[in-house]
Amino acid sequence: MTLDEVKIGGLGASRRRVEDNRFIRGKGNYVDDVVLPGMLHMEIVRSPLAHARIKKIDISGAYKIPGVRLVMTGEMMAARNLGWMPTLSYDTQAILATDKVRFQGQEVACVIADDPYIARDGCEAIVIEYEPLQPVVNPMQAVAPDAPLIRDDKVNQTDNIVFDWEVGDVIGTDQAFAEADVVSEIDMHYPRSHPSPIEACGSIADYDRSTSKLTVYMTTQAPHIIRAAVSLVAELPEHMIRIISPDLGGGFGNKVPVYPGYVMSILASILLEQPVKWIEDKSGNLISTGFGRDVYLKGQMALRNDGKILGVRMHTDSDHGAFFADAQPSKFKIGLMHSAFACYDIPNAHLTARGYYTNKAPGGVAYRCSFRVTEAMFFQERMVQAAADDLGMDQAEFRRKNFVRDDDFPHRTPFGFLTDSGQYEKCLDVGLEAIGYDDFLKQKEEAAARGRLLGIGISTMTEPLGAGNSREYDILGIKMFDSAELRVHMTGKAILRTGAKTQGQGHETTWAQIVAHELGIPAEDVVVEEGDTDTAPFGMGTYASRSTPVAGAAVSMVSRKIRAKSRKIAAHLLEVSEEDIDWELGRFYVRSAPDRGVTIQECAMAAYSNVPDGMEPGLENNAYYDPPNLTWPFACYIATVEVDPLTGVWDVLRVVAVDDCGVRINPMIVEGQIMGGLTEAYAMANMQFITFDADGNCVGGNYMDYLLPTAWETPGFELHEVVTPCPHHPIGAKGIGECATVGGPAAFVNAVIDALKGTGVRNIDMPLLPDRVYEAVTQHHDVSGAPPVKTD
Amino acid sequence: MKIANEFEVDQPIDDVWEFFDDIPQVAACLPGTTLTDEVEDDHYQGNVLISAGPVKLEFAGDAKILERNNADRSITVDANGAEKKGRGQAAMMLDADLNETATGTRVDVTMDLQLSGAAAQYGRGLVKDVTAVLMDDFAANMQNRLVAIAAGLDPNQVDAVKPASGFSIALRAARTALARVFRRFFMPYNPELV
Repeated sequence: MTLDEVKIGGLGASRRRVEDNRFIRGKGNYVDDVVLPGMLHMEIVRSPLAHARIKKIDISGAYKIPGVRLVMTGEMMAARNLGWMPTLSYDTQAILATDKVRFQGQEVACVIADDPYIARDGCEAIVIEYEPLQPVVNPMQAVAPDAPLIRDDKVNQTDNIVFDWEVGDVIGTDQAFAEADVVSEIDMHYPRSHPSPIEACGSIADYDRSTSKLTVYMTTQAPHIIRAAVSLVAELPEHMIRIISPDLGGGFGNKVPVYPGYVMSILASILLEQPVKWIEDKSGNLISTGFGRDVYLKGQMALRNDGKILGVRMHTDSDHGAFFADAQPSKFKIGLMHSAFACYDIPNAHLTARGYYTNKAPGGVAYRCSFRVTEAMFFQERMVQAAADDLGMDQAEFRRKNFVRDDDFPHRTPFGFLTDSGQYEKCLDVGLEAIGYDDFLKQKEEAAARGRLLGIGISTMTEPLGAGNSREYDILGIKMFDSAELRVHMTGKAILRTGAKTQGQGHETTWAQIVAHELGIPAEDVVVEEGDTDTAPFGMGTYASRSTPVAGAAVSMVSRKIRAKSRKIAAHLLEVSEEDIDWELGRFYVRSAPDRGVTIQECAMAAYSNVPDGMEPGLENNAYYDPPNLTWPFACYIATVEVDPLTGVWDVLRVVAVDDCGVRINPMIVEGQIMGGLTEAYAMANMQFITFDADGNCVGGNYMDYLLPTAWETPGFELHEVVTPCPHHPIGAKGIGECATVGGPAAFVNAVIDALKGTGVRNIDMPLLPDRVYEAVTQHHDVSGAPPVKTD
Repeated sequence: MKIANEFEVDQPIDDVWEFFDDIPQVAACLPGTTLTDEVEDDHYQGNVLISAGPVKLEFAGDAKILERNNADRSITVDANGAEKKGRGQAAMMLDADLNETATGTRVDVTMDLQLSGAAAQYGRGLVKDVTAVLMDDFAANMQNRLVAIAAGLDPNQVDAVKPASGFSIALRAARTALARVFRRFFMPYNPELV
């Protein structure tokens, strides 16, 4: 009897999340839940100023407090050659400030004590004398003639510019603009935001002198990279380092970088020979750890009167903060910014990018996206809307006219990426049908006659997910492949380990589904384990929607290796030659006599009890998967809004999402990902940003000022799907975790700008706070929200 | 950040105005404040200790009376200070404007407060709420002292409203914040309360 794949929890089964069983019972095991015997606690003293020279640090007061074991300062770290550490972007970053502080919240000292309260009292007792310096809070200030040099620690650094970079065809693009009937322009800022996972960062370092082994429990999305980094920075042998990333309360990119707190807890444990726990507070997380975005985007589009896009020019000015610590895996300085316009057939494009140092927190992370893809797609879709408006064309029609056709894959994008597959027009049609596009346009007109402002915004995009291939993507030279190891026990149950690390994505559920699909072993018979470098195969971790495209593919490949060995065992058991048997889900059978067969479980038992002569016993294997290309999901998001011209407040009427992420492993989890992503997209469009006042004070270091949407504010979402299997992925899946965060914001902003059409407003920078919208509506001009901002 | 508050004392405006002439008296009403030196007329040095929940900041600095307007009964104070452990700075321009009411005197206080460093990180909402709590205490202390003066007693012997503990300030500020959230969701819109 053939197995029902959905019943055994294979592909397409909306299987309940296995991990939720412990989470909803409060039985999760997060870093802060781990308690080791003799554990000490560490707290950090942070800089109150954005830019200042450190004149004196007096730590004597801290040592007067009973229970304080150790105080560390930059000077002490520097004496051990740990004053600075390399960043993931080939720059250096201070672990504890030595010469001066370069952003508010920078780590200046730390106190290790018997409990966290004593440690905090110790921090309070440290007196630091600063000499304030002029702060730089945006790229324009960074290159002003009187700008102070932020990175005076670097030999040969004479200005505040991190890099200049370009890509594309400048001559062809100039030619396209020379031939254009219309040139459309747009200028905007994608504000700084913060991933703000519910669990902040933390670590417990446990150095055991008797075995020379260092064990670190750590909130990290990429434990193996951390192991390599710790080995290089702390000069410890790699095999003596064990990184354990237990349950994570969200990551969203925030838990990719190596933070000074991790390094300090490790050094403290080595010095004190006791476990040292560091748990960051939420303010510390918001003001000092990896942020997202903060890019100024300028663009021009060359257009023909009939609506054809001839060429695009882009320029980005990106604010990297005090250290160039972008956590990104590509060799491209501005990440995958040049993935913009991948879904449109555009012959010529040119991008120039400049990065800047400022007195803001360092460590740009891919906040729920492949690096810089969110900015790229936001820019693309805002530019597309502006161009359609300038041409007087319908925005849906304009997109349709310029889409890459279904039969034009693989397609080379204007910046050189190779997209794999898609049905863009179909997705758009499903979206327009679902929202009732024509009806809404009529409704909008009627409403306008009564003085009400309705708007509709579309955002369509394909984005590159799942780094790498290893030719183009690496972290510090380590190639962006991933891995899986599958061990099938004799009863046919199995344990699967991968080099990825779930933070809420549901790997424990979905990886088992891939095994079920490949081997017919019921998903509930497969346990999934990740995050312990002593047991998991080497992998690059989970971010940039790479788990399914890379580690998920490795799970398929290792399952197929198990199946190949099982086939030999089956032939042996059935006493026929291997060529004479066929496979159906969960069972090998004799082609000429289909009733004669053995199940995968019987093969597993035989692997331990009855293997053919010459075969190694056991049934386990591993696979390292280096994807041939990124995966290219497509999405169409459409939002309708009403803007209140008297208050500047805008309400979302409806949101329709059409996602094509190829084959869906667990549709329920996919839908959850899309809804989560749309919520974050709505947040960025509406309320969420980290900004700074003129002194470089972070205005957004707490949840009264950094607004996250609750269920109260979040609109409802209507989800639809189109399936175009990925041609190069073993099961046809594409990444999905980040599509909605990437493509969503432009739909909301386009909708508000559409509502204001005809008033002369082309752009309002996110977040579209009521005061900004009100200013645009009443003053009829664009509103930019670049820092420094008014704090009233 | 601009913060506006008002309070009333049931004393005649002339008495209140006279009270404002005596800066050590005024300072004594402000919880956590001690004057350490009178540099010259209308120029004082002192300390302000603000303790709200886990937050404990002690500023040392100067306060100068920039203007006294006898006709309008208003006073402008420029104060600034540095946190003693290097955790930030505060600068404040304060206007107090006295107005006669049927039952006494209303004092309208507007402040332009600039915080940097640790204090700035606690957020505008929290700073405003804590300020409102401190202002209430200030008003109550002032009322007590005015009553004592009117009765011919030594105002320094009057029990001040106990310099509020960090915990109680945090609790009261939190209550204000919660009330604001509650109003936002459940009460009719009132721009004055937002």
